[in-house]
Amino acid sequence: MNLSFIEFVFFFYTFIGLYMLSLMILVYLPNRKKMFSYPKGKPEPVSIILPCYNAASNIGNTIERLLNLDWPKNMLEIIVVDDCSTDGSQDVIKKYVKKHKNIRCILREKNFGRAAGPTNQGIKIAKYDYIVVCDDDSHPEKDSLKKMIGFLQKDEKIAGVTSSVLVRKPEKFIEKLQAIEYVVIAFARKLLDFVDAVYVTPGPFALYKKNALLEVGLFDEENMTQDIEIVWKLMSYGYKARMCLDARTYVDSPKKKKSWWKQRIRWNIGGMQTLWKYRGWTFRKSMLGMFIIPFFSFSAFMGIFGLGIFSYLTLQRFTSTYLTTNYLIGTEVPLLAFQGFSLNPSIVNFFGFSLLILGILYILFGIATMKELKAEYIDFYSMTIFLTIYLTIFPINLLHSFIKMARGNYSW
Amino acid sequence: MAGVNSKHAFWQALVVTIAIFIIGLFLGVALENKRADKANERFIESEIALMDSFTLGKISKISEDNDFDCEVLVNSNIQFANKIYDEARVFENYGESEKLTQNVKQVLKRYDLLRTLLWVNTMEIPRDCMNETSVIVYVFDRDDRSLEAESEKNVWERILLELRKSEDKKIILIPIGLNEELISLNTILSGFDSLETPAVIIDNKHVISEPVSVNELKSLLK
Repeated sequence: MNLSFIEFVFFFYTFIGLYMLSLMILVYLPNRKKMFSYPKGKPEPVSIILPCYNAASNIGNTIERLLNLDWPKNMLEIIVVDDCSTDGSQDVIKKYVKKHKNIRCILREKNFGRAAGPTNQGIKIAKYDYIVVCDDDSHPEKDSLKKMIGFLQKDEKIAGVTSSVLVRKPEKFIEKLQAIEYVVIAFARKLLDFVDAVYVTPGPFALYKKNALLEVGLFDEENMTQDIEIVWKLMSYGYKARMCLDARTYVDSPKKKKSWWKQRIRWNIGGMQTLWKYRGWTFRKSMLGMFIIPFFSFSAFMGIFGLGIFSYLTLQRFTSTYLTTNYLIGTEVPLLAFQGFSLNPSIVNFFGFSLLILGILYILFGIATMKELKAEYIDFYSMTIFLTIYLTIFPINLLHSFIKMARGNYSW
Repeated sequence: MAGVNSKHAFWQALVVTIAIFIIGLFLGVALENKRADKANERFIESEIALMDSFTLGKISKISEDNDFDCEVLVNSNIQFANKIYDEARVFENYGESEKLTQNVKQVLKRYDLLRTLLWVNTMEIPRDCMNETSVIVYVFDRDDRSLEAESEKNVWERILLELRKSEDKKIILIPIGLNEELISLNTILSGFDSLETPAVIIDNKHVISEPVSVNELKSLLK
């Protein structure tokens, strides 16, 4: 064999990529008819915790949507926890509290800065045994709760259920990219559900058992992604989380590159905080220890290492071009010349190309299965950019997140 | 709603991945062997062509009446050089993409010997026949993958390509990769002091190690 170190690393990456693809396909095939199914549940009293910060333009509509959930009104309470908003959110909230007996609100005296603190505060005063945690700009479909409750009722080990979080009416280019991404994530998360590896119950709309939350000590108030940490904590106590693919919650994704970048930094830092907190669980006999933690750690490492390799190869290419140009000057040979097209792919190229094609097919299949992306929202250009450039930006964001975390320079 | 086979999927995926990898490696070896076979076939043809050129050279020496056609002899060497030059470019690319076997690289080494023989053959061509034809030998180290060496090689190849375009009928261009195992080649090269590759040797007299302009090279030709 005549492989350089970098080619060997490339083969290794290809192996891992192929393994994950194979895993997803092998999980999908026997479960394809169960992707959108959910256990039938019966209505039980639910407390919805709605942390709010400077959401005056949204909070009223969100409360309306929650009130309009297909759920008996006498089995629903909404607890809005305002984290010292300064935009008049409190006035909006108070109107609803006045109008509806099943809406309560906590007006915090000091800004906490993260969602976990206000959420915990709401959970502590919640009356009922089932808790929904929701964002102040979430758009859950009316039947979401109906579809999700059965998961918690059928199995005492299930402590949390998440819904499909999707982008609402993507218009800008960056929103369209995120719309595709969220659909693929939802599809993948459902596949992970079949192997008991749902590792997050995203903030926009998630349902929990209150006693389980209290048992594990509620959400980690220091964590930037408390929705990941809570699932890992529940899993460390022997609980599981589930994914209801058919329950859809729509959210407004970041509309500008800067806010998108900041959001992803927060997600990465939260992920790294959680990884560090649960590092002692690595390789312990459980899905958390044997799959989720190694998968997260390895992905992070591979991302940054891959970025390093890519940077090295790019620098090498630039240096080579510079040297060649330097030598060419004065030789009277054109700097740019077409010397004929020579296609001699190596086994490395074949593996890489095959993995690329399989990856694209997997993504397209996930999108087709979800049937979410309407033609008027998504076009060929955004799909192409997503499949080629968008995903390659993540390692750079990860590196930036790592640097920020190392410096202690991060906030919600 | 955990799937029925959820626990086995991890091991199954590993088996599937290993199987795909093994199949891929086998296909890769098959592809490289196919390329090596193609290179071998061309090599055999080139061997025949070189032997033919050798024989012509011998004929020119034993020809008594001195009206042996120089043009035939010189052109046969030029054509042969051009043939193996074009083949070499293709097979060098094959060699670079060869990752699992060494078969093409072995053929390339045999080509280096063939080209060394061609070089020696040109030295035996009667001087009278070579009044207007120059022999340009481009010596390079195939195994030197440093950035600087690769850049120099790229530049030399482009210079020589330009030269060949304009002086096609007047030069016998012979690229030869350095090879420790070729005693004959190393013996010839030892005759050139402080040879640093990549380098161009013109008519066994002028040795140029730094890339120069096409016109400078032309000025050194006959």
